Amino acid sequence: MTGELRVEHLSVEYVKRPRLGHKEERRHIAVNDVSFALPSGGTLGIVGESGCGKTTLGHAVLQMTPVSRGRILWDGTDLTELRGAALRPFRRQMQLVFQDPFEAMNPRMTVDRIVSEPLHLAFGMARSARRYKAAELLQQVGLDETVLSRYPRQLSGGQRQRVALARALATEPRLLVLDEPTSGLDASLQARTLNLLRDLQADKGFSTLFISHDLSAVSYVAHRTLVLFGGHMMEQGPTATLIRGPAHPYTAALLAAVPVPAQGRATTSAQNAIPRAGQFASTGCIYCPWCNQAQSRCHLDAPIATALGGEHLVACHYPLPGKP
Amino acid sequence: MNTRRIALAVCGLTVGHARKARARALVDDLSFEVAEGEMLAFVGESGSGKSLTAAAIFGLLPFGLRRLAGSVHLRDTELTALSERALRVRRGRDMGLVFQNPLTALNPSRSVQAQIAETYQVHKGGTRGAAWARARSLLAEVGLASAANGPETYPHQLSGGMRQRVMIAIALACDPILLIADEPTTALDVVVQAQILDLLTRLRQERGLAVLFITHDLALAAARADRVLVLYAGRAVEEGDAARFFRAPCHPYSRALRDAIPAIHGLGGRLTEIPGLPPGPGALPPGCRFAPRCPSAQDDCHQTEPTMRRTAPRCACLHPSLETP
Ligand SMILES: Nc1ncnc2c1ncn2[C@@H]1O[C@H](COP(=O)(O)OP(=O)(O)OP(=O)(O)O)[C@@H](O)[C@H]1O
Ligand SMILES: Nc1ncnc2c1ncn2[C@@H]1O[C@H](COP(=O)(O)OP(=O)(O)O)[C@@H](O)[C@H]1O
Ligand code: SF4
Ligand code: SF4
Ligand SMILES: [Mg+2]
Ligand SMILES: [Mg+2]
Repeated sequence: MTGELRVEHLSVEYVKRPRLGHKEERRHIAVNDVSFALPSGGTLGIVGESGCGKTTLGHAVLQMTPVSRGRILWDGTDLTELRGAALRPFRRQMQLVFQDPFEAMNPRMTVDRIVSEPLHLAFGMARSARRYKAAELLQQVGLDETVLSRYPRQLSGGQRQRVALARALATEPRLLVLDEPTSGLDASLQARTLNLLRDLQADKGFSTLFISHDLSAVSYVAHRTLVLFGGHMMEQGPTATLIRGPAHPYTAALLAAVPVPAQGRATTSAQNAIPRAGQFASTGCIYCPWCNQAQSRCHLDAPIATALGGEHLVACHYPLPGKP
Repeated sequence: MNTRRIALAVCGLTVGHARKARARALVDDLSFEVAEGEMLAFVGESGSGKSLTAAAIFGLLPFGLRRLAGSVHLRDTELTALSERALRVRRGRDMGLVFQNPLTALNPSRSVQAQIAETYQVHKGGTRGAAWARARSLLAEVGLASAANGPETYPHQLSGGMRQRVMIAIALACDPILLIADEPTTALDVVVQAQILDLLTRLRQERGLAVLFITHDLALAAARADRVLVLYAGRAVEEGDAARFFRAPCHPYSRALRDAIPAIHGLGGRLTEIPGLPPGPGALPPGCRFAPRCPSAQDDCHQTEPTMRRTAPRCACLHPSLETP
């Protein structure tokens, strides 16, 4: 068991119910032909603005959302072909920490039960052993035993996030999907959570899909980064390469919007509108309406992902010159 | 800059439990001012009292908590002396509040145009037509052209960033003196965040709006605010010019907060953590409240409580770092 994830040409389509008085159902492609590989023990950052399909991508990898096209290979096994009981052993190996941990927790369960439930379900562990293990898991994520008897609403956002992490770690997963794990946390808790993730990963060797809109956090934890826009992959490659020399105009716009202390930002980035489903260009490059590099070809024909050298892929007809 | 009128002056504000006399104050003797057109950023860890300060200014403290001392002046009006009814009027008209999660604050079944128009009409009166015209011009002002000119738009049709703009439009409906934005961009990506802050900057310049900006994001505060106030366990521990603050924080806690954030170009290296946790709801440690976590703590720190320096850089520490940047 090595724990390598390969995602090939993954698409996820949501079918929206027809609105009153309308006949046809509307389709929305939330993830469109995305491919990547995550080697065992590695971390891939998924970045992009809200609604771009990051969460959907994570859920699809975990088989929590039906996949429309493409393959999800876990150690060579295509998960999209498995159903029910055949999938169960894989589910244990892959855990999700939700974007909003409060919604995912049963408000009537104490922290003790939230963390120890998977121990019971996965390992059939006895009650006393569970409590001991739960306390140990909580300690690993920097919480003390006093939270064991509390309910989710009695915890701060940062504490809830760490309880969710402890629960996810309970089954000793090989892959952790973290959806915006630090977005609601203050600087101190974010530093602790990011360091914690690194230490846990070094210690336990799991792979991580780190979903975030915070490029600074991603740059800290992810070896590789994939940039999504409107469900499409714009660029992916080693994080340092992307940050030092973004090749896609959208990656460059994202980086330009990161606040730089003591410098201020008087102007907005290249974008002045927030794209939404249905507003994207229907032919050509989907980023076209917002792109400041667009040329006539961009309106007509959609760029396909091309290697710029090594592991650096970009979907753009006119990639920016990388910095040496 | 100092010649501008003071929009908000808070003096000695203390918030605590209404009944538990022995519990510590959650906001402790806090004083600050925000001038017209100025943006003051409040930073500090979770639970440091940022939102409670905002709630106390608005007279909207949660049940069980009370303002124990202090005054709040909005221009020349002492808000704490007003009756609940008079305060409600001021709240809608002169002060706007924007929260982190705009969806819970918007009514899902009414169009955003109607919601803005209603806020305006309640406080300013006038005809329905005038209120709708005002709603549309506000939507244009916050950069929602489609809702400004187009058909009625419902909250679920908008993205997170757009909803936050609607919240700002509602808060601005009656041309307030002060806007308090409590983590308005925490849930948003950097591009939308930059747009919202551009909008706030423009409103400050064009209308002289005073903004109290509450955030976890020190880099954002340093990049966009005029001044920064750092709160620790309910107390102000440092206050000053945003750029100076980030270059050369003088309080050990401010320095620790700054060093904890990952720099986007600083790939790699381990982040500096602040050891321990902020004090809980119980008693505070003796002496400096940051002492148990402070890397610069010395013996006297555990006995003597530091007070805020009167000259710049203003911070409350017995052994501050005062080198000029
Ligand atoms: N309704 C309440 N009853 C009792 N204590 C409360 C209540 N609301 C807040 N507190 C306490 O008051 C302190 C300050 O809370 P506040 O919400 O102002 O923090 P904050 O700085 O806004 O934090 P965050 O960054 O997490 O939003 C905390 O210790 C909190 O636990
Ligand atoms: N259950 C669903 N039904 C229909 N559309 C959905 C559903 N979940 C998400 N979407 C849509 O799919 C897109 C991607 O959503 P999501 O993956 O949650 O984005 P992100 O995590 O990047 O913010 C959005 O346009 C969203 O509105
Ligand atoms: S293909 Fe054209 S429109 Fe698309 S990102 Fe590249 S330059 Fe811009
Ligand atoms: S007074 Fe002492 S303990 Fe408190 S912040 Fe200053 S150096 Fe640290
Ligand atoms: Mg999401
Ligand atoms: Mg708060």
